[in-house]
Amino acid sequence: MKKKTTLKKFMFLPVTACDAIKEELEAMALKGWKLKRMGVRYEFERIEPKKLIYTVDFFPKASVYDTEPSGGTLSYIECCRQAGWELVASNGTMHIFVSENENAIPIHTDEKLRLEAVEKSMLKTYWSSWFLIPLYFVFSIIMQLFSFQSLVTSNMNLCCLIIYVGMLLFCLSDFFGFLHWKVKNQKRVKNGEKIQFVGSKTSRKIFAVRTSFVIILFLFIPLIFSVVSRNWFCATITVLALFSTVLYTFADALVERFKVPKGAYVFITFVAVILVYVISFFALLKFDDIFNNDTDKPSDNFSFAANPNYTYNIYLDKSILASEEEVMVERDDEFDFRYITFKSNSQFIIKKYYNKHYKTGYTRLPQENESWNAKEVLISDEWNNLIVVYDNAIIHFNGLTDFTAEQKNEVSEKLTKPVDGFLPSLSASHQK
Amino acid sequence: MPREQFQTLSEPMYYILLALRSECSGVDVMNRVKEISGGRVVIGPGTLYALLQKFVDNGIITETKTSGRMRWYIITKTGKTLLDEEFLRLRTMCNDKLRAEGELQ
Repeated sequence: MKKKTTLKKFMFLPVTACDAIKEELEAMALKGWKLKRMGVRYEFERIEPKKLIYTVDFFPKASVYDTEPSGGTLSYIECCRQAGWELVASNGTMHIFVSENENAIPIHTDEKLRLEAVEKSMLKTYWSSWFLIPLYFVFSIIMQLFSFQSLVTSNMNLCCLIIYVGMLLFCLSDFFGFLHWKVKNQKRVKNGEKIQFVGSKTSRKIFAVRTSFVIILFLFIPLIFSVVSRNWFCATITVLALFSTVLYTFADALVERFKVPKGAYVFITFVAVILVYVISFFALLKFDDIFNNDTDKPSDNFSFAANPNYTYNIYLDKSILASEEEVMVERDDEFDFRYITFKSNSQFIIKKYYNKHYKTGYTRLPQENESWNAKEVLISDEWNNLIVVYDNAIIHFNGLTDFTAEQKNEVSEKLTKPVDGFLPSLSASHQK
Repeated sequence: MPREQFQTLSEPMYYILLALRSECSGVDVMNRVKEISGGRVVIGPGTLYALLQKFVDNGIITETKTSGRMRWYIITKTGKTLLDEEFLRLRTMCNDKLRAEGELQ
Protein backbone atom coordinates (compact mmCIF):
# COMPACT_ATOMS: atom_id res chain seq x y z
CA MET A 1 0.00 0.00 0.00
CA LYS A 2 1.28 3.44 -0.88
CA LYS A 3 2.06 5.46 2.18
CA LYS A 4 0.36 8.83 2.48
CA THR A 5 2.82 11.63 1.93
CA THR A 6 0.66 14.64 2.64
CA LEU A 7 -1.96 15.36 5.22
CA LYS A 8 -4.48 18.16 5.31
CA LYS A 9 -6.02 19.14 8.58
CA PHE A 10 -8.51 21.74 9.75
CA MET A 11 -7.38 23.51 12.91
CA PHE A 12 -10.02 25.76 14.33
CA LEU A 13 -8.11 28.09 16.59
CA PRO A 14 -8.85 31.55 17.95
CA VAL A 15 -6.77 34.49 16.78
CA THR A 16 -4.49 34.62 19.79
CA ALA A 17 -3.75 30.92 19.85
CA CYS A 18 -0.10 31.03 18.80
CA ASP A 19 0.85 28.64 21.56
CA ALA A 20 -1.88 26.21 20.59
CA ILE A 21 -0.63 26.21 16.99
CA LYS A 22 2.96 25.75 18.19
CA GLU A 23 1.94 22.86 20.46
CA GLU A 24 -0.07 21.16 17.71
CA LEU A 25 2.71 21.52 15.14
CA GLU A 26 5.42 20.26 17.49
CA ALA A 27 3.28 17.24 18.36
CA MET A 28 2.75 16.59 14.63
CA ALA A 29 6.53 16.71 14.03
CA LEU A 30 7.05 14.04 16.67
CA LYS A 31 4.52 11.93 14.78
CA GLY A 32 6.44 12.48 11.54
CA TRP A 33 4.53 15.35 9.92
CA LYS A 34 6.08 18.69 9.07
CA LEU A 35 4.02 21.74 8.18
CA LYS A 36 4.18 22.58 4.49
CA ARG A 37 1.48 25.14 3.86
CA MET A 38 -1.22 27.04 5.64
CA GLY A 39 -4.43 28.02 3.88
CA VAL A 40 -7.97 27.17 4.89
CA ARG A 41 -6.36 23.96 6.13
CA TYR A 42 -2.91 23.13 7.43
CA GLU A 43 -0.96 20.87 5.08
CA PHE A 44 1.76 18.54 6.29
CA GLU A 45 4.40 16.45 4.58
CA ARG A 46 5.88 13.18 5.76
CA ILE A 47 9.27 13.41 7.52
CA GLU A 48 11.27 11.27 9.91
CA PRO A 49 9.69 11.81 13.33
CA LYS A 50 11.83 14.34 15.20
CA LYS A 51 11.73 17.23 17.59
CA LEU A 52 11.15 20.52 15.79
CA ILE A 53 10.76 23.92 17.38
CA TYR A 54 8.08 26.12 15.88
CA THR A 55 7.51 29.84 16.36
CA VAL A 56 4.42 31.71 15.29
CA ASP A 57 5.25 35.33 14.61
CA PHE A 58 3.32 38.29 13.30
CA PHE A 59 4.84 40.77 10.92
CA PRO A 60 2.40 43.69 10.68
CA LYS A 61 4.01 45.14 7.55
CA ALA A 62 3.05 42.06 5.55
CA SER A 63 -0.07 42.36 3.41
CA VAL A 64 -3.13 40.40 4.43
CA TYR A 65 -3.59 39.39 0.79
CA ASP A 66 -0.06 38.18 0.14
CA THR A 67 -0.14 34.61 -1.04
CA GLU A 68 3.65 34.61 -1.09
CA PRO A 69 5.74 36.95 1.08
CA SER A 70 6.88 40.07 -0.78
CA GLY A 71 8.61 43.41 -0.28
CA GLY A 72 9.82 44.21 3.22
CA THR A 73 8.55 40.89 4.49
CA LEU A 74 11.26 39.13 2.49
CA SER A 75 14.10 40.86 4.32
CA TYR A 76 12.45 40.08 7.65
CA ILE A 77 12.21 36.42 6.63
CA GLU A 78 15.82 36.46 5.42
CA CYS A 79 16.94 37.91 8.74
CA CYS A 80 15.03 35.17 10.59
CA ARG A 81 16.62 32.56 8.31
CA GLN A 82 20.11 33.80 9.16
CA ALA A 83 19.20 33.59 12.82
CA GLY A 84 18.30 29.93 12.31
CA TRP A 85 14.55 30.14 11.68
CA GLU A 86 13.24 28.70 8.43
CA LEU A 87 9.87 29.98 7.22
CA VAL A 88 7.54 27.05 6.60
CA ALA A 89 4.22 28.74 6.03
CA SER A 90 2.64 32.13 6.09
CA ASN A 91 -0.85 33.51 5.85
CA GLY A 92 -1.23 37.26 5.72
CA THR A 93 0.66 38.76 8.64
CA MET A 94 1.08 35.42 10.37
CA HIS A 95 4.34 33.57 9.80
CA ILE A 96 5.32 30.15 11.05
CA PHE A 97 9.01 29.41 11.42
CA VAL A 98 10.74 26.18 12.28
CA SER A 99 14.14 25.42 13.75
CA GLU A 100 15.89 22.24 14.76
CA ASN A 101 18.15 24.13 17.12
CA GLU A 102 16.63 24.33 20.57
CA ASN A 103 18.95 27.21 21.47
CA ALA A 104 18.25 29.40 18.46
CA ILE A 105 17.82 33.10 19.31
CA PRO A 106 14.10 33.66 19.83
CA ILE A 107 12.53 35.69 17.02
CA HIS A 108 11.37 38.25 19.56
CA THR A 109 13.65 39.28 22.39
CA ASP A 110 11.46 42.18 23.45
CA GLU A 111 8.01 41.27 24.73
CA LYS A 112 6.64 44.78 24.48
CA LEU A 113 7.48 45.01 20.79
CA ARG A 114 6.13 41.52 20.25
CA LEU A 115 2.81 42.47 21.80
CA GLU A 116 2.70 45.59 19.63
CA ALA A 117 3.36 43.50 16.51
CA VAL A 118 0.62 41.02 17.41
CA GLU A 119 -1.85 43.80 18.10
CA LYS A 120 -1.13 45.65 14.85
CA SER A 121 -1.34 42.45 12.82
CA MET A 122 -4.59 41.42 14.44
CA LEU A 123 -6.21 44.76 13.74
CA LYS A 124 -4.98 44.65 10.16
CA THR A 125 -6.30 41.12 9.61
CA TYR A 126 -9.55 41.29 11.54
CA TRP A 127 -10.67 44.91 11.28
CA SER A 128 -13.51 43.91 9.01
CA SER A 129 -14.86 41.13 11.19
CA TRP A 130 -14.35 43.17 14.35
CA PHE A 131 -15.67 46.54 13.18
CA LEU A 132 -17.13 46.51 9.67
CA ILE A 133 -19.33 43.41 9.97
CA PRO A 134 -20.59 44.26 13.50
CA LEU A 135 -21.38 47.74 12.20
CA TYR A 136 -23.43 46.18 9.40
CA PHE A 137 -25.31 44.07 11.95
CA VAL A 138 -25.89 47.05 14.26
CA PHE A 139 -27.23 49.01 11.28
CA SER A 140 -29.52 46.12 10.29
CA ILE A 141 -30.77 45.74 13.86
CA ILE A 142 -31.55 49.45 14.10
CA MET A 143 -33.36 49.32 10.75
CA GLN A 144 -35.42 46.37 11.97
CA LEU A 145 -36.30 48.03 15.27
CA PHE A 146 -37.12 51.26 13.48
CA SER A 147 -39.76 49.58 11.35
CA PHE A 148 -41.38 48.12 14.44
CA GLN A 149 -44.65 47.22 12.78
CA SER A 150 -43.18 45.14 9.98
CA LEU A 151 -40.81 43.57 12.48
CA VAL A 152 -43.42 42.22 14.87
CA THR A 153 -45.77 41.05 12.15
CA SER A 154 -43.22 39.14 10.12
CA ASN A 155 -41.61 35.89 11.18
CA MET A 156 -38.90 36.46 8.63
CA ASN A 157 -38.00 39.84 10.06
CA LEU A 158 -38.00 38.43 13.59
CA CYS A 159 -35.85 35.58 12.39
CA CYS A 160 -33.42 38.01 10.76
CA LEU A 161 -33.30 40.10 13.92
CA ILE A 162 -32.35 37.05 15.97
CA ILE A 163 -29.68 36.10 13.44
CA TYR A 164 -28.32 39.66 13.36
CA VAL A 165 -28.14 39.89 17.14
CA GLY A 166 -26.59 36.43 17.33
CA MET A 167 -23.98 37.19 14.69
CA LEU A 168 -23.22 40.55 16.30
CA LEU A 169 -22.56 38.81 19.60
CA PHE A 170 -20.47 36.24 17.76
CA CYS A 171 -18.24 38.88 16.14
CA LEU A 172 -18.00 40.99 19.27
CA SER A 173 -17.14 38.02 21.47
CA ASP A 174 -14.12 37.45 19.24
CA PHE A 175 -13.09 41.08 19.53
CA PHE A 176 -13.60 41.25 23.28
CA GLY A 177 -11.72 37.97 23.64
CA PHE A 178 -8.79 39.68 21.94
CA LEU A 179 -9.12 42.83 24.07
CA HIS A 180 -9.14 40.75 27.23
CA TRP A 181 -6.05 38.91 26.05
CA LYS A 182 -4.34 42.19 25.20
CA VAL A 183 -5.03 43.87 28.55
CA LYS A 184 -3.91 40.79 30.43
CA ASN A 185 -0.64 40.65 28.50
CA GLN A 186 0.01 44.37 28.76
CA LYS A 187 0.04 43.85 32.51
CA ARG A 188 2.33 40.85 32.16
CA VAL A 189 4.77 42.79 29.96
CA LYS A 190 4.77 45.68 32.43
CA ASN A 191 5.71 43.25 35.19
CA GLY A 192 8.54 41.93 33.04
CA GLU A 193 6.79 38.64 32.31
CA LYS A 194 6.51 36.90 28.95
CA ILE A 195 3.42 37.18 26.76
CA GLN A 196 1.09 34.28 27.32
CA PHE A 197 -0.81 33.03 24.29
CA VAL A 198 -3.89 30.88 24.39
CA GLY A 199 -2.99 27.18 24.66
CA SER A 200 -4.53 24.12 22.99
CA LYS A 201 -6.90 23.27 25.81
CA THR A 202 -8.44 26.72 26.08
CA SER A 203 -8.57 26.97 22.29
CA ARG A 204 -10.61 23.81 22.07
CA LYS A 205 -12.97 25.11 24.74
CA ILE A 206 -13.40 28.43 22.96
CA PHE A 207 -14.01 26.65 19.67
CA ALA A 208 -16.60 24.35 21.26
CA VAL A 209 -18.45 27.27 22.86
CA ARG A 210 -18.49 29.33 19.67
CA THR A 211 -19.61 26.42 17.49
CA SER A 212 -22.37 25.46 19.93
CA PHE A 213 -23.51 29.06 19.97
CA VAL A 214 -23.99 29.11 16.19
CA ILE A 215 -25.67 25.69 16.15
CA ILE A 216 -28.03 26.66 18.99
CA LEU A 217 -28.81 29.93 17.24
CA PHE A 218 -29.86 28.14 14.07
CA LEU A 219 -31.69 25.36 15.95
CA PHE A 220 -33.49 27.92 18.05
CA ILE A 221 -35.13 29.54 15.03
CA PRO A 222 -37.11 26.57 13.69
CA LEU A 223 -38.01 25.71 17.26
CA ILE A 224 -39.60 29.02 18.21
CA PHE A 225 -41.10 29.78 14.84
CA SER A 226 -43.66 27.19 14.01
CA VAL A 227 -42.59 27.42 10.42
CA VAL A 228 -44.63 25.38 8.06
CA SER A 229 -41.65 23.50 6.82
CA ARG A 230 -38.87 22.96 9.30
CA ASN A 231 -37.22 20.61 6.85
CA TRP A 232 -37.03 23.39 4.33
CA PHE A 233 -35.44 25.68 6.86
CA CYS A 234 -32.85 23.13 7.96
CA ALA A 235 -32.11 22.14 4.37
CA THR A 236 -31.53 25.76 3.36
CA ILE A 237 -29.18 26.40 6.27
CA THR A 238 -27.26 23.17 5.67
CA VAL A 239 -26.89 23.85 1.96
CA LEU A 240 -25.72 27.37 2.74
CA ALA A 241 -23.10 26.16 5.24
CA LEU A 242 -21.87 23.41 2.90
CA PHE A 243 -21.81 25.78 -0.04
CA SER A 244 -19.65 28.32 1.82
CA THR A 245 -17.22 25.63 2.98
CA VAL A 246 -16.88 24.13 -0.49
CA LEU A 247 -16.51 27.56 -2.05
CA TYR A 248 -13.75 28.65 0.33
CA THR A 249 -11.90 25.35 -0.01
CA PHE A 250 -12.17 25.62 -3.78
CA ALA A 251 -10.89 29.21 -3.74
CA ASP A 252 -8.00 28.11 -1.55
CA ALA A 253 -7.14 25.21 -3.84
CA LEU A 254 -7.28 27.58 -6.81
CA VAL A 255 -4.87 29.97 -5.10
CA GLU A 256 -2.45 27.15 -4.32
CA ARG A 257 -2.68 25.38 -7.68
CA PHE A 258 -2.03 28.45 -9.81
CA LYS A 259 0.08 30.45 -7.37
CA VAL A 260 -2.13 33.41 -8.15
CA PRO A 261 -0.80 36.95 -7.69
CA LYS A 262 -2.09 39.27 -5.00
CA GLY A 263 -4.67 41.03 -7.22
CA ALA A 264 -6.25 37.74 -8.29
CA TYR A 265 -6.34 36.56 -4.70
CA VAL A 266 -8.18 39.69 -3.60
CA PHE A 267 -10.56 39.18 -6.53
CA ILE A 268 -11.23 35.52 -5.68
CA THR A 269 -11.85 36.37 -2.02
CA PHE A 270 -14.19 39.17 -3.04
CA VAL A 271 -16.13 36.97 -5.47
CA ALA A 272 -16.45 34.22 -2.86
CA VAL A 273 -17.85 36.65 -0.28
CA ILE A 274 -20.29 38.16 -2.79
CA LEU A 275 -21.45 34.69 -3.90
CA VAL A 276 -22.16 33.62 -0.33
CA TYR A 277 -23.98 36.88 0.27
CA VAL A 278 -26.14 36.53 -2.85
CA ILE A 279 -27.00 32.91 -2.06
CA SER A 280 -27.89 33.91 1.53
CA PHE A 281 -30.11 36.63 0.17
CA PHE A 282 -32.06 34.18 -1.99
CA ALA A 283 -32.22 31.73 0.87
CA LEU A 284 -33.81 34.46 2.99
CA LEU A 285 -36.38 35.12 0.27
CA LYS A 286 -37.18 31.43 0.42
CA PHE A 287 -37.65 31.81 4.18
CA ASP A 288 -40.21 34.45 3.51
CA ASP A 289 -42.20 31.89 1.52
CA ILE A 290 -41.78 29.35 4.28
CA PHE A 291 -42.95 31.70 6.96
CA ASN A 292 -45.77 33.47 5.20
CA ASN A 293 -47.64 30.90 3.25
CA ASP A 294 -51.00 31.29 4.93
CA THR A 295 -51.57 34.78 3.54
CA ASP A 296 -54.42 33.65 1.35
CA LYS A 297 -56.52 32.37 4.22
CA PRO A 298 -58.37 35.32 5.68
CA SER A 299 -58.83 35.21 9.40
CA ASP A 300 -61.61 37.74 8.96
CA ASN A 301 -64.95 36.71 10.24
CA PHE A 302 -66.66 40.01 10.47
CA SER A 303 -68.74 38.90 7.52
CA PHE A 304 -68.09 42.28 5.97
CA ALA A 305 -66.00 40.46 3.53
CA ALA A 306 -67.86 37.21 3.51
CA ASN A 307 -70.81 38.48 1.52
CA PRO A 308 -70.49 37.17 -2.04
CA ASN A 309 -71.86 40.45 -3.38
CA TYR A 310 -68.88 42.32 -2.04
CA THR A 311 -65.43 42.28 -3.46
CA TYR A 312 -62.53 42.43 -1.14
CA ASN A 313 -58.78 42.14 -0.94
CA ILE A 314 -56.85 40.89 2.00
CA TYR A 315 -53.29 41.54 3.03
CA LEU A 316 -52.03 39.63 5.97
CA ASP A 317 -48.76 39.86 7.82
CA LYS A 318 -48.53 37.34 10.56
CA SER A 319 -45.82 36.30 12.94
CA ILE A 320 -45.63 34.45 16.21
CA LEU A 321 -45.87 37.77 18.01
CA ALA A 322 -48.50 39.72 16.13
CA SER A 323 -50.58 39.92 13.00
CA GLU A 324 -51.77 42.75 10.88
CA GLU A 325 -54.56 42.15 8.43
CA GLU A 326 -55.86 44.68 6.01
CA VAL A 327 -59.18 44.08 4.30
CA MET A 328 -60.45 46.30 1.50
CA VAL A 329 -64.16 46.05 0.97
CA GLU A 330 -66.05 47.29 -2.05
CA ARG A 331 -69.78 46.95 -1.61
CA ASP A 332 -72.73 47.45 -3.87
CA ASP A 333 -74.29 49.89 -1.41
CA GLU A 334 -71.45 52.39 -1.93
CA PHE A 335 -70.08 51.76 1.58
CA ASP A 336 -66.47 51.22 0.55
CA PHE A 337 -63.93 51.01 3.28
CA ARG A 338 -60.91 49.19 4.56
CA TYR A 339 -60.17 47.96 7.99
CA ILE A 340 -56.94 46.96 9.59
CA THR A 341 -56.89 44.50 12.43
CA PHE A 342 -53.74 44.40 14.48
CA LYS A 343 -53.61 41.55 16.95
CA SER A 344 -51.09 40.54 19.52
CA ASN A 345 -51.13 38.78 22.86
CA SER A 346 -48.39 41.05 24.10
CA GLN A 347 -49.56 44.15 25.92
CA PHE A 348 -46.23 45.75 25.16
CA ILE A 349 -46.64 45.37 21.40
CA ILE A 350 -50.25 46.58 21.44
CA LYS A 351 -49.23 49.59 23.48
CA LYS A 352 -46.32 50.38 21.18
CA TYR A 353 -48.53 50.07 18.10
CA TYR A 354 -51.18 52.22 19.74
CA ASN A 355 -48.67 54.90 20.71
CA LYS A 356 -47.21 54.95 17.23
CA HIS A 357 -50.49 55.42 15.40
CA TYR A 358 -53.25 56.60 17.68
CA LYS A 359 -51.71 58.57 20.51
CA THR A 360 -52.54 61.90 18.90
CA GLY A 361 -54.88 63.11 16.20
CA TYR A 362 -57.98 61.23 17.29
CA THR A 363 -60.88 62.01 19.63
CA ARG A 364 -61.79 59.61 22.36
CA LEU A 365 -65.41 58.58 22.83
CA PRO A 366 -65.54 57.64 26.49
CA GLN A 367 -69.24 56.95 26.68
CA GLU A 368 -69.08 54.46 23.81
CA ASN A 369 -66.72 52.00 25.47
CA GLU A 370 -69.45 50.03 27.19
CA SER A 371 -71.70 49.68 24.20
CA TRP A 372 -68.81 48.74 21.91
CA ASN A 373 -67.54 46.36 24.50
CA ALA A 374 -64.06 47.78 24.00
CA LYS A 375 -61.35 49.41 26.05
CA GLU A 376 -61.35 52.58 24.02
CA VAL A 377 -63.06 54.00 20.95
CA LEU A 378 -61.40 56.71 18.90
CA ILE A 379 -62.63 58.67 15.92
CA SER A 380 -61.21 61.22 13.60
CA ASP A 381 -63.18 64.43 13.61
CA GLU A 382 -64.56 63.85 10.14
CA TRP A 383 -65.83 60.47 11.21
CA ASN A 384 -64.24 58.51 8.43
CA ASN A 385 -61.87 56.84 10.83
CA LEU A 386 -63.01 54.64 13.64
CA ILE A 387 -60.56 52.89 15.90
CA VAL A 388 -61.63 50.33 18.44
CA VAL A 389 -59.02 49.28 20.96
CA TYR A 390 -59.19 45.97 22.79
CA ASP A 391 -56.81 44.34 25.20
CA ASN A 392 -55.10 42.40 22.50
CA ALA A 393 -56.35 43.87 19.26
CA ILE A 394 -56.82 47.21 17.57
CA ILE A 395 -59.27 47.55 14.73
CA HIS A 396 -59.13 50.56 12.49
CA PHE A 397 -61.97 51.31 10.07
CA ASN A 398 -61.21 53.76 7.37
CA GLY A 399 -64.08 54.74 5.11
CA LEU A 400 -63.55 56.29 1.72
CA THR A 401 -66.31 58.66 2.71
CA ASP A 402 -67.57 59.68 6.13
CA PHE A 403 -69.59 57.02 7.89
CA THR A 404 -73.31 57.60 7.85
CA ALA A 405 -75.29 56.90 11.00
CA GLU A 406 -76.50 53.69 9.42
CA GLN A 407 -73.01 52.54 8.58
CA LYS A 408 -71.86 53.43 12.06
CA ASN A 409 -74.57 51.21 13.45
CA GLU A 410 -73.63 48.37 11.16
CA VAL A 411 -70.01 48.52 12.19
CA SER A 412 -70.93 48.78 15.82
CA GLU A 413 -73.27 45.82 15.59
CA LYS A 414 -70.65 43.66 13.93
CA LEU A 415 -68.14 44.58 16.54
CA THR A 416 -70.39 43.81 19.44
CA LYS A 417 -71.34 40.43 17.99
CA PRO A 418 -68.09 39.01 16.77
CA VAL A 419 -68.28 35.74 14.93
CA ASP A 420 -66.32 32.62 15.81
CA GLY A 421 -64.42 34.26 18.59
CA PHE A 422 -62.73 36.63 16.20
CA LEU A 423 -62.28 38.96 19.09
CA PRO A 424 -60.22 36.99 21.54
CA SER A 425 -59.48 40.58 22.16
CA LEU A 426 -62.21 40.90 24.72
CA SER A 427 -60.58 40.36 28.04
CA ALA A 428 -62.30 38.53 30.86
CA SER A 429 -63.21 41.79 32.56
CA HIS A 430 -65.03 43.02 29.49
CA GLN A 431 -66.87 39.82 28.95
CA LYS A 432 -68.36 39.96 32.40
CA MET B 1 6.76 64.63 19.03
CA PRO B 2 7.97 61.52 17.17
CA ARG B 3 11.16 61.68 19.17
CA GLU B 4 9.29 61.49 22.41
CA GLN B 5 9.29 57.70 22.52
CA PHE B 6 13.04 57.77 21.97
CA GLN B 7 13.68 60.16 24.93
CA THR B 8 15.66 57.38 26.49
CA LEU B 9 16.85 54.54 24.33
CA SER B 10 16.33 50.97 25.39
CA GLU B 11 19.37 48.71 25.36
CA PRO B 12 18.54 47.06 22.01
CA MET B 13 17.81 50.48 20.45
CA TYR B 14 21.16 51.86 21.66
CA TYR B 15 23.11 48.94 20.26
CA ILE B 16 21.26 48.94 16.92
CA LEU B 17 22.13 52.63 16.47
CA LEU B 18 25.72 51.89 17.42
CA ALA B 19 25.86 49.16 14.80
CA LEU B 20 24.32 51.41 12.16
CA ARG B 21 27.04 54.08 12.31
CA SER B 22 28.20 52.38 9.15
CA GLU B 23 25.86 51.00 6.52
CA CYS B 24 24.70 47.46 7.13
CA SER B 25 21.86 45.03 6.45
CA GLY B 26 19.46 43.62 9.04
CA VAL B 27 21.51 40.46 9.41
CA ASP B 28 24.70 42.49 9.81
CA VAL B 29 23.05 44.55 12.56
CA MET B 30 22.24 41.38 14.49
CA ASN B 31 25.80 40.13 14.22
CA ARG B 32 27.40 43.48 14.96
CA VAL B 33 25.30 44.07 18.06
CA LYS B 34 26.42 40.71 19.37
CA GLU B 35 30.02 41.57 18.52
CA ILE B 36 30.00 45.11 20.00
CA SER B 37 28.38 43.95 23.22
CA GLY B 38 30.69 40.98 23.48
CA GLY B 39 27.77 38.57 23.15
CA ARG B 40 25.87 40.17 26.02
CA VAL B 41 23.07 41.76 23.96
CA VAL B 42 21.16 39.50 21.61
CA ILE B 43 18.37 40.86 19.43
CA GLY B 44 15.87 38.50 17.81
CA PRO B 45 15.09 39.12 14.14
CA GLY B 46 11.44 39.96 14.84
CA THR B 47 12.36 42.55 17.44
CA LEU B 48 15.09 43.92 15.19
CA TYR B 49 12.66 44.45 12.31
CA ALA B 50 10.11 46.11 14.55
CA LEU B 51 12.77 48.53 15.79
CA LEU B 52 14.27 49.21 12.35
CA GLN B 53 10.78 50.04 11.11
CA LYS B 54 10.24 52.46 14.00
CA PHE B 55 13.61 54.10 13.38
CA VAL B 56 12.92 54.49 9.65
CA ASP B 57 9.45 55.91 10.32
CA ASN B 58 10.94 58.53 12.65
CA GLY B 59 13.90 59.44 10.45
CA ILE B 60 16.46 58.10 12.89
CA ILE B 61 17.91 55.72 10.33
CA THR B 62 17.39 55.55 6.59
CA GLU B 63 17.22 52.76 4.05
CA THR B 64 20.18 53.03 1.67
CA LYS B 65 19.64 50.21 -0.81
CA THR B 66 17.64 47.09 -1.50
CA SER B 67 19.04 44.09 -3.28
CA GLY B 68 16.91 40.99 -3.55
CA ARG B 69 15.83 40.00 -0.08
CA MET B 70 18.35 42.24 1.66
CA ARG B 71 17.98 45.83 2.75
CA TRP B 72 20.70 48.13 4.00
CA TYR B 73 20.36 50.93 6.50
CA ILE B 74 22.45 53.74 7.96
CA ILE B 75 22.02 56.15 10.83
CA THR B 76 20.86 59.72 10.01
CA LYS B 77 21.95 63.02 11.53
CA THR B 78 18.94 62.92 13.87
CA GLY B 79 19.91 59.42 14.87
CA LYS B 80 23.47 60.45 15.58
CA THR B 81 22.30 63.33 17.79
CA LEU B 82 19.98 60.95 19.60
CA LEU B 83 22.79 58.46 20.16
CA ASP B 84 25.12 61.20 21.40
CA GLU B 85 22.51 62.57 23.77
CA GLU B 86 21.90 59.10 25.12
CA PHE B 87 25.62 58.58 25.55
CA LEU B 88 25.96 61.86 27.47
CA ARG B 89 22.98 60.94 29.62
CA LEU B 90 24.43 57.54 30.44
CA ARG B 91 27.85 59.05 31.13
CA THR B 92 26.34 61.68 33.40
CA MET B 93 24.49 58.92 35.22
CA CYS B 94 27.70 56.96 35.69
CA ASN B 95 29.61 60.02 36.81
CA ASP B 96 26.83 61.01 39.20
CA LYS B 97 27.00 57.62 40.84
CA LEU B 98 30.73 57.81 41.22
CA ARG B 99 30.53 61.32 42.66
CA ALA B 100 27.71 60.42 45.02
CA GLU B 101 29.69 57.47 46.31
CA GLY B 102 32.79 59.65 46.59
CA GLU B 103 30.88 62.17 48.71
CA LEU B 104 29.66 59.47 51.03
CA GLN B 105 33.16 58.21 51.69
